[in-house]
Order: sequence, then C-alpha cells, then structure tokens
Amino acid sequence: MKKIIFLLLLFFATAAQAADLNYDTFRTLPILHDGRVKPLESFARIYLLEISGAPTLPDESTPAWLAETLFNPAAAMQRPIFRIDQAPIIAMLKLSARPDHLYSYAEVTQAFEAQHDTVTTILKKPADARSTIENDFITRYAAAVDFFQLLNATALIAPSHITVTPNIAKLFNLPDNNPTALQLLAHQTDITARLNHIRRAKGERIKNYNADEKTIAKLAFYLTNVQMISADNHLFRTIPSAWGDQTWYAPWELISGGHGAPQSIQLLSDWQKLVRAYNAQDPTAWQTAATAIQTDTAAQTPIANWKLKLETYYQILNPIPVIAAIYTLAFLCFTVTAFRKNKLFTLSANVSLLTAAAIHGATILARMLILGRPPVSSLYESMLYVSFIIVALSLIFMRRRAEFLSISALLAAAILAISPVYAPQGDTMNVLIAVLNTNFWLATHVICITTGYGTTLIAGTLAHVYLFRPSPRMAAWLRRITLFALLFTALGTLLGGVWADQSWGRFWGWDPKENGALLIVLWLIWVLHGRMTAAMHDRAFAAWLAGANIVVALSWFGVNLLGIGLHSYGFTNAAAWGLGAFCGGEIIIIAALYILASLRLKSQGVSHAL
Amino acid sequence: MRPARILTLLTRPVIIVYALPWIMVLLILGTVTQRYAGLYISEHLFFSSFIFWFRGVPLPGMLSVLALLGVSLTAKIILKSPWRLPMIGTLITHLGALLLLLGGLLTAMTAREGNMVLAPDQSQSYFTDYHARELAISKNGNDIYIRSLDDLHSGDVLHDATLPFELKLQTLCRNCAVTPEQKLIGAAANKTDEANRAGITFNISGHNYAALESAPPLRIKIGKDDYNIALRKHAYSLLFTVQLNALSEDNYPATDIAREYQSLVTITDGAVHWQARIRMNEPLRYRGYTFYQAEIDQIGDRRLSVLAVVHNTGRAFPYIAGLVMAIGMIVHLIVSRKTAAP
Repeated sequence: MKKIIFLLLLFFATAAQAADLNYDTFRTLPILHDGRVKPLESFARIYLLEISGAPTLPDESTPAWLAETLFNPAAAMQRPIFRIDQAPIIAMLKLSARPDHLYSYAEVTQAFEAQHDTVTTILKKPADARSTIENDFITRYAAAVDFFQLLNATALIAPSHITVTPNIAKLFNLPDNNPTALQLLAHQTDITARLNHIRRAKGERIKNYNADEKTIAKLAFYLTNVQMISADNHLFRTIPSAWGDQTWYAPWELISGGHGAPQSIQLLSDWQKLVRAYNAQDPTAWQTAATAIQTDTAAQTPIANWKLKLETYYQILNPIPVIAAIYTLAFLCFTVTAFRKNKLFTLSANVSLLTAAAIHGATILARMLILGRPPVSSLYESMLYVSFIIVALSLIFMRRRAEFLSISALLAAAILAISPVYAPQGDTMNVLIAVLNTNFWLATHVICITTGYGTTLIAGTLAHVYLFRPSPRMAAWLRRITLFALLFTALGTLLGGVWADQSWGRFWGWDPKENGALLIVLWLIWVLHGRMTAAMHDRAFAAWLAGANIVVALSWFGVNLLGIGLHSYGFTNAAAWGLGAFCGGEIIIIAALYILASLRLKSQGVSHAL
Repeated sequence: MRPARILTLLTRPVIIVYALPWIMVLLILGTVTQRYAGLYISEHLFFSSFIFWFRGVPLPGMLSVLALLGVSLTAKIILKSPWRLPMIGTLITHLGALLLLLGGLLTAMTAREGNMVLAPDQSQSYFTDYHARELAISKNGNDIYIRSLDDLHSGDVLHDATLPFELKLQTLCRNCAVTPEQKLIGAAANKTDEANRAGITFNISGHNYAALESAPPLRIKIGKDDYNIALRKHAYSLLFTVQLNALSEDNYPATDIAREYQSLVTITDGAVHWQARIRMNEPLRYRGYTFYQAEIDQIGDRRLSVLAVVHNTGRAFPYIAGLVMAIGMIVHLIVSRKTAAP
C-alpha cells in the first residue's frame, strides 16, 4: 500500500504557495461520522487527537491541517505530527528516538511496512491476549491506517499532476492538465481499451510511446490506483443521500455504488472546486466553493447549520479546562477569606464562582442543543453534569455559606480536571446505543442519580472539613445534606428500577451499576441510622460519611472497570490506577483527620475521644 | 427468652447498623464475582441465598439478613414507632422500605423469566426459562415424565408408573463437552449460564446412553411406543400465541451501532387476534406478561427475534414503595427543617 501511495503522489497536484485561506466556513461544513452529522472541526479534532495525541497543533489551525491532509497529501505526509512516545514501540519500529516524539506519516508507514510480520502476528492474537505494549502498537498502527484513509479521502476529486496533450484533452473533453479521477471515470472504458491497443502494438515499455500514448498510459494507471485506494475508503461522508434516507456517502462510494443524483453530483462538483481552490491557494474561489457546499448540502438534506456552528465554536473554545481553572481560582479566593477576611478576595471568590457556573451551565446547555438529549449519557458527560449540579445546588441553597461554596468550587474543579481521562478518544459526543436511546429515562433516572452523586460528594467533602474544624452547626448541616443525598440517590436508584421494569420487564437485575447505586444508598442509610441510634458520635459519623466519597467513586467509575453488565458503556481501563490512588489517599486522609480530631478532643479532656 | 423480649430486641434500630455493613460486603463480593464467574453463579452465591458459605463456615446470606431487616422493621413500625408529627416522615419512609422488601420477596417467590426465540412467521405459545433445565421423557410425542435437573444427582434411579423402564443416572454436568470419542464430559461453566449445555449419561436396561441439551432427543422404541428422552430448558406455557410477522433493525447511518430494533407480532388469544409492535424500551404487556425486545440474532441466513419474557406478580410494589419512600423523605426534610437547621 505504501508503494501505491508514493506512486500516486507523483500524480497528485501540489498546492501553490500558501495563501491566507479563511477556514471559518470550511470548519463548519457537515460530515457524517460515527452515526452523527458533525462539523469538520469536530471530525478533524478526533483524528488529530488519535494521530498526534492532541486535538490541536501548535503551529497550525485544526481545519488548516485537515485541508492540507485532504487536499495536499504530499505535504501532509511529510509533516511530523504522528506521535509515538513509548520507547518499546519506537524500538519495535526501529525509529530513532526524538525529544518531541513526533514523526511524519512517510516515516511511520515505512516503519510499519518493515514490521509487517510483527503487525500480522499481533493482529492475529485476541485483544485480551495481547500485552499492553502490543495493544498500544496496534493502536498506533490503526492510527496510521486512519491517516492513510484521510490522505486519500478526496482522491476522486483531487486534481492529478498529469499534463494532458491537446489531442487527448479534445478526445475526452478534459481540461489541458490536472484532470481529476472523477472527470476520467466517464471515459474509463475507452481509456482502458486504448491502452490495451497501445500495449499490443508497442509493448509494455512506455518510452516507446508517443506523447498521446504516454498520456493515455498515465491516465489509466492513475485511474486504476485511485479506484484501488478509494474502494474501501468510507471516511469522508460529506454527500447526503438524495433518496430520502439518512445515509451520507464518501465521494468514491457515491459514484461506484450508483447513489448519485443531479444534486449530489452538484455537491461533488462543489467539493472538486474547493480542492482546486485549495491547490491554487485562491482565497476567493475557496470561500465561494465552501459557501456553495454549505448551501447545496442544506438544500439536499435537513441539517441545522446553527447546530454545526454551535458545535464548531464549542470545540474551538474548549470550555472545560477554562471552567476548571476559574473554579480553582474561586476555591483559592475562598480559602484565603477563610483565614483572613478580605473584601477583595470575597468579591473575587463569588464573581469567579458565578462566572464559572454560568459558563459551565451554558456549556451543558450547548451540548444538549447539539445532541438533542439530556446531558448525562456517558461517564464523561456525567462528570460535566455532576460538577455543575454540585455548584448549582450550593449556589441555590447555601449561597451565604462560604465553606459550602468553597467545597463546591473545589469538587467541581477536581471533577472537571480529571474528566478528560474518561474521554480518551476526545469529546466525540457519540451517539447513544439502543438501550440508552430514551430521553425520558435519561432525563429522570440519570439526572436524579447523578444529582445524588453530587450531593453525596458535597456531604462527604464537608465531612472532611468537619473533622478538620468541627462545629455543632456543621454537624447539623451534615445530617441534613446526607438526607438530601439519600433522597436523590434512593429516588434515582428506584427510578432506574422503574426504567428497567418499563423497558425490560424486570425491576432489579444485580447489574454492577445498579449494585453500585444501591451501595451508596445503603451507605447513607447506614451512617444516618448510626448517628440517629447513637451507635456513632458526630466525629465517627463524619468519618464514615467522608468515606462516602470512596463509595461514590467506586460506584460511579469503579463498576465500569469491571466491564460487565448493561452499564459498562463507560469502560475506562486507564483510569483504574487513578481510582485506586484516590481511594487509598482518601482512606489515609480520613484516618489522619479522625485521629487528629480525636487527639484534639482528648487533649481537651473529653471522654471516649478515641 | 420470652417472646416479648425477642420482640423488643427486634425493634432495636441498632440492628440495621450491624446488618447493613454485612449486606454491603455481600453486595461488593457479588458484584466483583460477576466479572469472573458471571451473574448466575454470583447471584446464587451472594444475592439469593439464605446461607453464605465461606470456606466451610456458614454465614448469614443476603436473604437471611433481608428477612431479619423486614421483621425488625415490621416490629418497629407496629410496636415502637411514635406516631407523632416530627416522626411522620421517618414512619412513611420505613413503611415504603417495608413495602419494597415485601415486593422483593414476592418477586423472588413468583417471578418467571425467560425468553422466546422466533423466526419470521413462526408462532409459539410458551417461553423457556433462562436457567432451569429439565429432563423430559415423552411417549409418542406427549410428555409423560419431567424432572428438574436441579433435583437430580449422579446415582439416582428414576422410576415412575408411567415409565416402562428404570433410568439409572450415571453422570450429570451443568456444562458438558463431547470428546472425539463421543463421550460426554464435564466442562468449565460459562460465565453466562444460558451458554452452558447441560448433559447426563444414564443406563436403561443395561444399555448406556447420553443426552445433551439442545441436541436432538434420544429415541428408544419399546414395543410399539416411541420414547424420547431430552434435556431442555424449562418451558412455561402461555394461554395465548405469539407469532412473529417481521423484525427490523435500525442502525445509526453508516455504522453498525443499533439505534433501535423491533418485532411486529400477532397475538392470538382464543378467537381474538391482533397485531402489536415490540421495540427497544417499548415492551408489550399482556395478561401479566412483559415481552421485551432483547436482541436480534443471526444464525446463518436466518434472523431471529429474541424476546425476553417476564411474569412478575410483585411488579407494582417497587412503584408504590418508591413513591411512599420519596414522600416520606420529603416530608421528613420539611418537618425536620425547623429543628434540624442551625
């Protein structure tokens, strides 16, 4: 395959000197990818993350990179953006180590080609029988395959680097040079027949051919290779079906499958103009072609351009790290005011918390508008929602209590900071599997249970504060918040059962996620009854309640690590160590706080302090 | 100990403080075990047993502890709950919890779960249990002797007035494999119990035989009569017939990710028949049975609709209990607001 692409690249036209192309329209153009119509901006970020390990490049905008990859593959192949940062894989591929761990596709594909036997051997093994390095090796190989597909996604409409003689141009009604494979396809039978005739007459040696015959040979060779690399390339689904179904087609798929219609051919022609405009680096033609694609696609299928724009802006702004940073600032300001009253810090804390909460709320709203569903359908989304609900509940019910606001800012910042770990493929906003594809139950059960997670985390974290600085007022608050947490988790768990009964005819199935939710409910019932029956004093109650954080973490993330049951959609292998570290750290912190609190009471002469 | 004293002990709320941690331990163990042994084994070991055996030591199982909690809660509600306004929320919540336990008990005792696998145009008036296997002997096509596999043991001799022979059980396995020499041997159980193939070897009148689940029944001719001996999943009869008319699967465009799948069926109940649609998250309910579109299976060129079937007389309890508990907790939060808030 490597040889084919290198040979083919000889015939691909290369772009003119770079000009200032405007990518604002281009990045919002729609593409069907992973079951959903999304803007090219999102599409580009997914593949850039897979290839380079980050959704953006330091020296190039994401749509500019995509345009180069699609329309100027010769240059894209030489750009060092392919990340290989594990020493064993670098050694397996016999590459030389580099400080930035970045290689060009040309280097990587040559390296994989040389290790063809190794790739085949590993691919034959079942995924769970491979070592971690072998799995990572295959992940990199898959990224190289995806990159190859991207490089050839528009081969059908990309101008070739073939100069056509006037006789041949006239014969096939072609432009003087750089015809596309699309233009040649109509004459494929004729070109092949003529080439066969030439070969019979003059043999296989091209140097014996005259100029017209050489052109015929080049066109036939080019067409055959474009067919070969495009046949299984379904990545660039940018042409909606003209026949009323929801399918979109990649350029070659449209033509070879006979799915074309006048309007889809018009769209293909628009894309062809875009490619030519890129290669000519003509800003006016580029913008005109991009606008035409946008208009003609919208005319062909009902798509909401505002959604595409909203998603594009969402991706560009990438609000989650920003929100996490502002929450952190709010927490730091609240912490300062806890030790020293200062109007400026108090104001800064409140303003930054409100600002972060406002952006956070807008972010969740944007996701709901883009996806048309409640904002809690994956582990990553639940983290965005739970962190918001923690802050929102604190702002609504505890807005005059700085300690609550401070804790909510800390929790929200921490959850948002670790959230990318649970979206290893990036923020792809994936479609829902059939069993989860119900807005009603997502909006009731999942919202309720995740609100329960949030309130339990508030209670658990405040319990830490209580152990550090106990007060009767806070003890009373702890009991009350725990009741709230119990209400939401119990209700959420029961609603989950009702969903299961309504949908599947059974209320309870001992699914790990169900058990996890039940565990939180039981834990909260236990600590509340322990306190009510005086089996636990306030300090013990706070210590066990602080442990609810661990229970929530295990229920929320831990059961997904088991990879079993109906709820295993959020399986996250890489996060296992983080979860273990969190639980271990929490146990140590809670034990230390409890012992210190007990020693403090003992020093004050309080009986049964320990 | 006097009954009054026992009752007083049972009403002590501290029981829950000691019972809940044990339930949580069982819950965690049962959940983790699912990864390694599957749900069926895990459920039997940890969630639906009265005794939990730990290295030969009998410990209270989930059902024992839940029963204790149920009795304790009942005793407390009847004997010890102060019917005063500040406690009304707690009382209502406890009542809801009791209803939930009762519903769970009823479900555990009476629920029937299984599935019905239908090819297009096929009709069926029974569904088969997921787990329960049975040995069935039929005479000229009519079942005359049925025994649950759970009741059978190696060495048992089965005889009955309806049978003209004695069947001596030799070996029995929950999951069997057939050796190249055509011998039946025990194999490691699958994590998914439905995938297990039970089997038995037995002797009739000095001849050795074997029967394997999902295999054609063993045929023996005695006199003029044909006897079939089969191992099969337990079947529950329905008073109506379900016929599959069509099935369809809708994937997200250009992906293999299912967005929805559905079956169009005709229900025939006596002289009445009508069409119904069963789709993901929209089951069909009729005569206390729920038909849920579990999956669409493909065997060769044939596409099969797999409908999960459930009959649960305790179905209403969780709804009522959930509502009662939610009301109870909200009332408690409202009533206790003045006293609890600092």
